[in-house]
Amino acid sequence: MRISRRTRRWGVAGAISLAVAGVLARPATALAADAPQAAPAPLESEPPSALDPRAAFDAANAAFAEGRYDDAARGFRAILDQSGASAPLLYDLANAELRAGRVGEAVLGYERALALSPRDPDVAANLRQTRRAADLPEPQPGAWDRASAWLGVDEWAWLATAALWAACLLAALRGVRPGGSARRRGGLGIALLAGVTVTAWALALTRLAALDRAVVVGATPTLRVAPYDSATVSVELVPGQVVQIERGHEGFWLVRTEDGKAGWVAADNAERILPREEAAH
Amino acid sequence: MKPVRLLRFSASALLFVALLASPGLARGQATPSLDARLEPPEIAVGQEARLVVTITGVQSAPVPQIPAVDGLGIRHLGQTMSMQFVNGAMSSEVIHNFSVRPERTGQLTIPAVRMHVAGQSLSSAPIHLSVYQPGRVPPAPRATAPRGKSGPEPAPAAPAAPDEAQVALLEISGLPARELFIGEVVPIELRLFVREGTQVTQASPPELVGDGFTLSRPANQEPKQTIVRRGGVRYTEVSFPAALSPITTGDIPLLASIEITARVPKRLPRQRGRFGDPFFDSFFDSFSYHAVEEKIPIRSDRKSLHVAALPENGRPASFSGGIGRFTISASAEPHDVFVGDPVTFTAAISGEGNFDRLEWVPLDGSASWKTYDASARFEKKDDLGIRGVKTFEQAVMPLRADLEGIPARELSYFDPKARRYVTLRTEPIGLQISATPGGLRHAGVPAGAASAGSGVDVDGYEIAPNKIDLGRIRSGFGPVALQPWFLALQALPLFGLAATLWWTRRRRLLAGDEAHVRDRAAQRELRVQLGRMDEAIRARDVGAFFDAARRAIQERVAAQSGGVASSLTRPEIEQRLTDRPEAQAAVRAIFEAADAIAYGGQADAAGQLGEWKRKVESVLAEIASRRQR
Repeated sequence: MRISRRTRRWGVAGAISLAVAGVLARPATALAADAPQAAPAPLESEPPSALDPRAAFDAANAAFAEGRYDDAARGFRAILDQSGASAPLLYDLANAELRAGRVGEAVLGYERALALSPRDPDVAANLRQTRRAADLPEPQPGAWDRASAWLGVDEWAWLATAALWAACLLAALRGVRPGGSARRRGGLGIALLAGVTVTAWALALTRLAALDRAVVVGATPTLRVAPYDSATVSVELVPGQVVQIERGHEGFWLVRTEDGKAGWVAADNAERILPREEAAH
Repeated sequence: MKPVRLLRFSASALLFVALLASPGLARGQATPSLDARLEPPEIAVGQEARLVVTITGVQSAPVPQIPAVDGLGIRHLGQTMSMQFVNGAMSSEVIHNFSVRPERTGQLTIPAVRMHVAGQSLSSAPIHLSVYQPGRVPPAPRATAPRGKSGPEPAPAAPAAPDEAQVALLEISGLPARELFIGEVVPIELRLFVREGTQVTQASPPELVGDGFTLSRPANQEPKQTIVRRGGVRYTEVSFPAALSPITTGDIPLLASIEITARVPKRLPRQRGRFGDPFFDSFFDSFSYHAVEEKIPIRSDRKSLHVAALPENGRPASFSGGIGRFTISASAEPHDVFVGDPVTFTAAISGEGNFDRLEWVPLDGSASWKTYDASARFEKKDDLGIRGVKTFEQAVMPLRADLEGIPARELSYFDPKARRYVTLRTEPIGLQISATPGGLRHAGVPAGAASAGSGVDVDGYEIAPNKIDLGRIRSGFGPVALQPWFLALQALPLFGLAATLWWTRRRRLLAGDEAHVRDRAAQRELRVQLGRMDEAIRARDVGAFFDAARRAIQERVAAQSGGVASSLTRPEIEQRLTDRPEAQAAVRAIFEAADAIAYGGQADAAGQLGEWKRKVESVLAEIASRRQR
C-alpha cells in the first residue's frame, strides 16, 4: 500500500513534467520548421530537391575562384534557401558579395556568420576590413559588450542552462539530505551556480540585443521622412551601415541610425542580422 | 449701492455743486482761448483717439463744429467745465471731448477748429493724425503729442488708452548695401521690438514671406534680448541671427514675419452711467480696461534686393561653387612611403561664405596614382556656419616610385564684393616614394577614405580566403535560446526542485505528527502480523496463526482509537464495534478460538486457517472502514 502510493505520486509528477515539456516543445518544433531563411532569392537553375549542399558549396567556391562572384553568390544563396545556414556558408557568401561590389550584403553576411561563429578570426577580420574600405564606422563596444561577444547567444544560453540544472540538482539533494558541512558546501555551490546562470543569461541577452539590428543593403538606400516613395529624402544611407529597426509600415521600416537619425527606409534596403517572422506592414 | 457707483455719484454731485456756484464767481476772467489736441497722435486702423477741444476763460461754450475729414469718424462724447482759484483769481475752462476713429492708414489732418465764444472768434491749429496698420508701430515714436494750440497751455489731458499703444515691430538689419548672388550666404539679424509693458506669452520663430530667399537659423540657440529706447519709449529688443541666401535672380522682395501672442490692455464695453450723461462715462473711462491675450502677426518693412546669377565669363574650371572669401592650405601624410602605400592628402579651406556648396575637385586616378573618393568635414567658427574651416581628405596611392609628390591643386571661388572669381593654389607636396620588390602591397586604407566606384575595391585589401568546409548546416540562424522548448528546459529543473522541496517539507512535517507516527507504526506492525499469519498457514501452525490474528486486530483497533495494542481485551474491542454486530461476532469468534487454542490446546482448525484468515481480513477491513467514516 505504502509503496504503491509513493509510486503513484512520483508517477503523477513525472507525467505532469512530461506533459508540460511536450506542450511547450510542440510549437518549438513547428517554429524550427518555419525558421526564417537568410535570403529570399530562389535558385534559378535547379529544383530544391536536386540540391546537394556540399556539391553546391564546392561549385559556388569554384565560381568564386574563377572570379565569377555573382554566380558564386547565387550558388551560396541557393544553399541557404534550400538547406539552411552554416557559418562557413554565410562567410563565403559575404566574400562573394564583397567581391561583387555589394558592401551592404557583405556586411550582413559577415554579421550573420559572426552570430553563428563568434570567435572565427577570418569573419571578424573581413568584416573589419570591409568596414574600413567602405568608410563605415567601426563599432566601439564597452567592456560588457566585449565580454558578451566571447560566446554566441546559444553558447551563453546553454551555459546558463547547465548551471541552472546543476544548481537545482544540488539544491534538491541538499533538501533531501540536510545537515553537516556538506550542507554548507552545497549552499556555496548553489550560490555560485545561480550566479553563473544569471550572468550567462545576461550576457546572452546582451549579445542578442547586439544582433537585433539591421544592415543597410542595396545600391542607393535612403532615409525618408515618411513611409512613401515620394517622401523627401532626409539622409543618404551607406550600404553596410547598421541601423535599429523600430517598426514597419507598408513596405518601409522606421529605422534609427547609430548617430541618432531616424527615418523610413524601404523594406528591401534593410535586413535584420537575425531574421524574424515579420513584415513591414 | 455698489462702491463704483457710489464713487461716481459722489464725484458727479461735487461737480454739480461747483457748476451751480460758478456764475457768481465768474467775474474778472482772462481772454478766452481755444486749444485742440489729439491723444495719441498715432494710432492703428480700428483704434480710437481722443480729440480734446479746450476753451479757456469761459464758463460755457457750445459744441464746436469739427470739419469732416475723409477716412475719419468723429463723434462728440460730451463736455466738462472746471474752475480754479489761485491767489483769489479765478480761471475756468470748458472741455469738449470727441471720439476720433480712423478708417484708413496714412497721414490724416483735421482742419483748424473754429468757434465763436463770448463774442470772440477762436481758432486752433490744424491737427495731424498718423494712422498705421494694426500690429505695427511707427519706426520712431515721438515723445510728445502734437497739438493745435492757439491759447494758453491747457491742463494735462486724460492718459492715452492702453490699447491704443504700439505693441511690436520687426526689422531686418545687416543686409549688405550691394547686389547679392544666387547661392551666396549673408548674415542678417531679425530684430523684434516689443513695447515695454506688453506681456508676450508666446512667439513663433521668424520666417520669410515669399520664396525668393532661404533663411536658416542656428539650431538650439536662444535669441538675445536687450532693452532699448526708441523715440523715448522703452522696448525689449529680441535679436535673431540668421543666414540669408537668395535662390532666384531679379529684384526680389524681402519681407519677414513673426507672430507673437501677447496680453494687450483692452477697453471694457462701455456701460451707460446712472445719469445717462456721456460726461460721466467720459469721466470714468480711464478705469475701464483689462488685459486680453491676442495673437498678433507682425511683418517687417518690405525691402527689395537685387539678386544676380554668377557670371559665366571668366569662370575657372576649378570653380568649387563657393561664394565668399576663402584661403587654402594643404598637407599630406606620410611623406616617406612605398609604392602602393596610401597617403592622406588634406586640404583645409578657411574663410567666410557658403561652405555647404564648397566642393573639392579630387585628384583623378591615373597610371601614376590610384585615388579614392574625398571625404569632407566642416568645423564652423560662428553659430551660422558662415565662418569656419572645411577640410577635405583624399586617400591617394602612388603607383610609381619616380613620382616627386602630390602636384599643386587648385580651388576657385567667387568673391561677391569684388564681383570676380578667385583661384587658390596649393603648393606641390613632395613625397619620398620607394619601390618595393614585390610590386604593389596589399594594405589597409586610412580611415576616412571611401573607395571609388559603386562598391569596395577589395583588390587593395587583404581579405581572408573562403572556407572550403561547409560545416554543420542548421535550418535557420535564429538563436536556439529563443525557442520555446529551450525555455521549457529552463522550467523543468525549477519545477523538479519545487516538487522535491515540497515533498521533503511534507515528510518533515509528518514526522512531527504523533498520530501520524502512531498510525505509521501500527501499519507497519499490522503488515508484520499479516505476514506471520501467512507463514502460520503455510506451516499449519494454528497457535501462531490465531496469536498473529489477535495481535493484528488489536493493532488495528489501537491505531484507530489509541491505547496500547497488547493490552486491549476482547470486551474493549467489542465495545468499540457496537454498531457492527457482525464484526463483533467475528471478533468474538476469533478471540474465542485463539483462547481455546492457547489455553485448551485445540489444533483441529488447521485445515480452516484460510477461511479464518479471510474472516480476520474482513474484520480488519470493517475496522478500517469505521476509521474512514
